[in-house]
Amino acid sequence: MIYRHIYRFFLSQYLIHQFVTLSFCFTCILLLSTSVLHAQEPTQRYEGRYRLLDSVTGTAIYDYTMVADDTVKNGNFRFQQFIEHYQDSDTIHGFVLDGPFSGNIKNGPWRFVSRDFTVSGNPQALDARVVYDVNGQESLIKTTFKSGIVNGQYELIDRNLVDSYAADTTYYAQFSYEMGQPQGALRGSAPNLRIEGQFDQEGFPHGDWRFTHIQDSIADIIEIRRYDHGFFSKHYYELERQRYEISHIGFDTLVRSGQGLLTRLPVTSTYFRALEYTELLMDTTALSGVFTDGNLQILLSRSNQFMERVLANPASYRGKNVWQRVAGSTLIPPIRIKIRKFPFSDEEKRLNLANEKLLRETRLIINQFLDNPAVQTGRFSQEELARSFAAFGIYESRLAALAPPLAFLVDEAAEYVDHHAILNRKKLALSYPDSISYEHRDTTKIALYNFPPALENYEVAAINRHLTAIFNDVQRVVQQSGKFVQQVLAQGELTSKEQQLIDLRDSVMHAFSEQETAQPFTPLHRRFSEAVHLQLDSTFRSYSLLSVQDRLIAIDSLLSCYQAYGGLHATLGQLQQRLDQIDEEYTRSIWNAYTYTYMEERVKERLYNTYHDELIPYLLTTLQQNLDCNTLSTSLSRIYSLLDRMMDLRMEDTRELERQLRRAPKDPEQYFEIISNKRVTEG
Amino acid sequence: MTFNTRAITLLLTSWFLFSFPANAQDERPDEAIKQPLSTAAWNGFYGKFRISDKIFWDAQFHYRRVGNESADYLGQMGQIYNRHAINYLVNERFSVSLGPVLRLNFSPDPGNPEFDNLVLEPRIWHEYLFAMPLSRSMIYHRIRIEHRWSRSNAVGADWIFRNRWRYKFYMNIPLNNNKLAPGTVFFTPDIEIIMQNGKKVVDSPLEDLRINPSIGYILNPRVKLTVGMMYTTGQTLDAGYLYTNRWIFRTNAYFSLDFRKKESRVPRTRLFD
Repeated sequence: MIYRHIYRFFLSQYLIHQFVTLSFCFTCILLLSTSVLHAQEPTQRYEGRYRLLDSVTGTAIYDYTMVADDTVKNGNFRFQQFIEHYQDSDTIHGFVLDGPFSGNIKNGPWRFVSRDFTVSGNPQALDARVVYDVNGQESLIKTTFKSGIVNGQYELIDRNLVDSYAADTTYYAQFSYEMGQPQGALRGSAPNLRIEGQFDQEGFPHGDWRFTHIQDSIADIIEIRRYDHGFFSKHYYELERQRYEISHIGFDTLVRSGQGLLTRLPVTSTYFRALEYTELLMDTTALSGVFTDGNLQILLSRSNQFMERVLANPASYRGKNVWQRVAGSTLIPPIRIKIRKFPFSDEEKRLNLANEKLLRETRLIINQFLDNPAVQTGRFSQEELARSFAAFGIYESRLAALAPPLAFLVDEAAEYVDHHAILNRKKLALSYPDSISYEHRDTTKIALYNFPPALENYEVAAINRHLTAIFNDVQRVVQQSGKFVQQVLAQGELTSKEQQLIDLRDSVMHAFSEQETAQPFTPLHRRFSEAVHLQLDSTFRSYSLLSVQDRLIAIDSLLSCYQAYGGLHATLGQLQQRLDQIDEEYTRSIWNAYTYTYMEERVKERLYNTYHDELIPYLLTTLQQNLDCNTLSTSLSRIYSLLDRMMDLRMEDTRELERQLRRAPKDPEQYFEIISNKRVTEG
Repeated sequence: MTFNTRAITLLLTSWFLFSFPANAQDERPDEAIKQPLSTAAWNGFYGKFRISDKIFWDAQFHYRRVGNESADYLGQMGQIYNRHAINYLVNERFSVSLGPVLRLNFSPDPGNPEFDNLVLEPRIWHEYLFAMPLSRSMIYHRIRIEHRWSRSNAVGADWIFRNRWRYKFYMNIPLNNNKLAPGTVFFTPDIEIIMQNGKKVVDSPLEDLRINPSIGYILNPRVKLTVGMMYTTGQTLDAGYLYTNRWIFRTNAYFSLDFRKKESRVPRTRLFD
């Protein structure tokens, strides 16, 4: 018993001793750490305007410490710039860049988000805030930096938002970096496209890159691009587990790495342009009936577009490297590939550039000549000008055909494809007739013309000789034509007015051409297009055949006539809107409680039908058949007075008027009279 | 062809009822028995009158005749049916209704003193209608629940209470148009199942199965008309193995009117429209 008490006493003494010792140690550690903290500068927070390295200003919040009178970012950083256009268009656009710093170096997960939103719906009160939903696009780039070097998962996302919710992802790519170098797998998607690929240890694309093109109606088409440590060595498409090879004419896929023949090229748009230049050869029998070569080419272009974004510009958004807008990280280089180069010799480069310049300058002279108002009017009376005009038209068509191959030869991408093989696939045949035909004083004439010999191959020296010959001929013609042009130019005031006249004529013709105009083109424009073209053409032709004296008298009225035609275009555009508006005004939408649908009903049916089925066709046909500068404005004002009257009648009691329409003889002029007569409804 | 259907039905029903009064379960036949074919003609007038943005007065009237030995379909009065409700349009795809029904049941054998000439049958009903638009057509799911107090026309018959559980699927498919608009002829496939329960419902939960295809015409946004032949079958209340067997000629007129003040109608309309 006594031993037990002795044992308990010593045990309690031991525990007390242990507790005192631990307490002492803990207190020491606490004091020590506190003193260390006090020795450092305190962390401060900045909140306010901030200017990025590319001079874009916005607001930022970040933590920093002061070291040697300079700020050193430590902790989270967030920059944002949003511009609101509520007043004008309810839009907001801007971007956010945020992530952590450690000693002014990016360290940890970083994110760039760009947003283009349009406010949608009604405001909602949320506590003390007013919240709007938005529609729009959002683009994200996310990654992790380690000591300023990209290291970890890298994601690129573009998506659309509808009512503030992500509706669909239009671009997604995910892969990884290990200390600045891409590694491992890449996964991605775009609408109707899924991508899986792999990088080797040096960061080159390697192995089979699979592009699954999802088709709605047929089996998915799988496109396979095989990379041999960065070298694009095989290209297939796969349909229902059967592979078909795609050969790129002019793109070397046979050279194997390790032979010292390959260039290591950072992937840029040049590489993909080179791919697009190559002609594709493939067995398309499997695709017959479901798919054409053209469609497959579109699919391959989509794959190229996907790859270009992720391989060439992983850190880029709208042309700017997002991570370089704030210092603290090394540049993320584009991913590299290996490629066989087909370099031009220095002489070839010189001639290619010279040819391209010669072509450009010759076409410039030709087009200035063709567009010259003195030439355009003078060619109907001066035979020499008419002949030159016809010859230059032939030159222009040939040079237009030569322009794309010359643009290809001066493109840097041409050195990454076998340019000879590519050009030789397309036969060049620039040949010229022995004679030209032209119109002079309303008769067609034919004359011999000494064009240069035909050009039948892409040999750069031959192209140069050919272009030089054309250039010399064009210069000679321009110099010789000078005296004829001068005769026309000498007409002084008339010339400047004719310039206006031609510009006006061309702009009206342009506006009435569905293929050419950028302005709205309604069915009414289509209806009047041919008649307006005929009118402008015939009036201009008649004018051109007049003597100078008569032209001086006629030009002012022709100018105002063309202005009236210009007004007709705008008027027809508004007229279609007015017709639609009246259609809408005379339509009532009624809820049917049995079908659970809205049904439309015409109101004032007899009045509307008379206006729509009888009067408008009658007035438009009259306008079209008598298209003439003198009657144009009168005819249009009749149409507009009818439309105004119809808008007024919508609000009035029209029972008496409709009764009169019912009894009236079937004559549009009578209908017009009844509808226009205000006394009818007032009586 | 003339059926003496009503008389045969009555005879058969009476025979079953009085032959197995005490232990009908024990004496029930091995197979379901179909009643002789009977016919009827139902003429319906349906009105939905909008009285506010969300609320409609739903008024329905049926004039129903049944065939007898003198004439199929139209031989004698069957029922007159008055159904009213307040219909609340939750949104353009869903509505609910609640209201009373008063049905007038005429004697199945006019002049027979064993039957009252007229018996009233009150009900309370509520309905949940879901409308689903397709590109051209509309699909509808209608759930209707009725609480009914009824008695047969037999003199001195007891009142019984039953609930009816009705589900109806129907569509409006335009035939000469790409939408339901005035001037459109449409086809309506229509099928409805009516279940019932109550103390007196022993072995006849399936009261009626109605297959009612019809052809309709939209006269204007406010009026549509339909005509169709409906086949129905279901268990009789007192003998679950005995199935009704009816062809019913149906004509319906549907009126959808707006009783709101003109200026408050949406979309707005003008004074002299």
